[in-house]
Amino acid sequence: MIDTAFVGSRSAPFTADVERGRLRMFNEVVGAPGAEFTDLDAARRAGHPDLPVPPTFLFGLDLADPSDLLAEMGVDLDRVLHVEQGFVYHRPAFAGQTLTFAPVITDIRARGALEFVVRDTAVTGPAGEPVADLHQVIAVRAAGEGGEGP
Amino acid sequence: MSVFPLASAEVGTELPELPGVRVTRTLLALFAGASGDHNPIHIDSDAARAAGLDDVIAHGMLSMALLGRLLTTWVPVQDLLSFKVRFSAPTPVHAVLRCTARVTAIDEDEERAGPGCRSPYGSRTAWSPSAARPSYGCRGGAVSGVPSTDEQVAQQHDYIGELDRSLIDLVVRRSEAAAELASLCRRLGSPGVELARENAVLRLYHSALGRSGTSLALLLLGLGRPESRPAGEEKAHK
Repeated sequence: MIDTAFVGSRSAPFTADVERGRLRMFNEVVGAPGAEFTDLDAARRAGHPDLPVPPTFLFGLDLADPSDLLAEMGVDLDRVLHVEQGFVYHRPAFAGQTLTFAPVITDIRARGALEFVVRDTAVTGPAGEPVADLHQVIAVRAAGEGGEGP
Repeated sequence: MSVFPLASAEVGTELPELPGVRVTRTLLALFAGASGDHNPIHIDSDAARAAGLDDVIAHGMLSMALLGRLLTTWVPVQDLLSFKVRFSAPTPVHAVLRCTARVTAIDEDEERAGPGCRSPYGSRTAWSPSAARPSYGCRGGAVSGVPSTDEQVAQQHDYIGELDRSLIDLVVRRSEAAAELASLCRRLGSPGVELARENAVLRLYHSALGRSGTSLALLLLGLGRPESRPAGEEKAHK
């Protein structure tokens, strides 16, 4: 069982740079919805200051959290399944920005053989302005138990 | 970029389906690197088996990223207000993801901006993106909005404010660089100000911005001379 005392724990806020090269790589793998996602001139013609961040890209930057709350909670990555992900967007983010991520564990709940952990991360921009809120729900299988997830 | 008639979309309108995407091991390896999700159950079949799976499974976020691509092919990315999915079951390697999205609601009432949404919005559109066939993948919802004119004006004010802050920062850096150059020249015993260089700067600004460019260049050159830099300007703009 995960100690429910972890509800409310916060990672120290950390920063991540939005890099053009990584955005281009992401769009190359997933498929770019339009030229403004990979081409700086096209981005500027579309009114963007730089390459815009695709809707789900911030999730990967949030994963770079240097304080590993899951490990602290005694959760191994190979027992984890991602069951829900949400984003609320406050303003678009662009290459060249340094964003700040402030994660907090907001819920831990057991349901059957699974435990559900909810992590909410507020992402803010260079001047502290809200950029997006990330909402992640994972299911954790009990240690030592194999088999299918949900 | 798009020819899809978003403005005339109605409840039930389907976005053009993305070409099916086959989940190959190569795609999973590339997505791990590009997204930053390095969980080995997506890329290493030994690790997947050790975790009790038959083989590697796709990142849930791969299907969500594809749905994000589908939505932003037709909806400007800055108009997306929210996007969420539930991952129904692990997507096995070799599966083909079919990504669709349908309009589920259109709300013209800007008083009823949903929780967490940027507001006010002239109109908002709810979507039901799905990368789920037949039984795996994910499905969820998204909301996009067309900003009201007021909101567009406010956004443009913000943007111009950002540009001004960047310009001030650049002007300060230019002045500092010019002061550094002058002190280098003094150490070498050469004159700190070279008229030929200053003329080249004036011509550059004139060719880019016309007569106002010349005036701007004169001001910038003046700011670059140590005696004309205001005291205590460091970071005062922050």
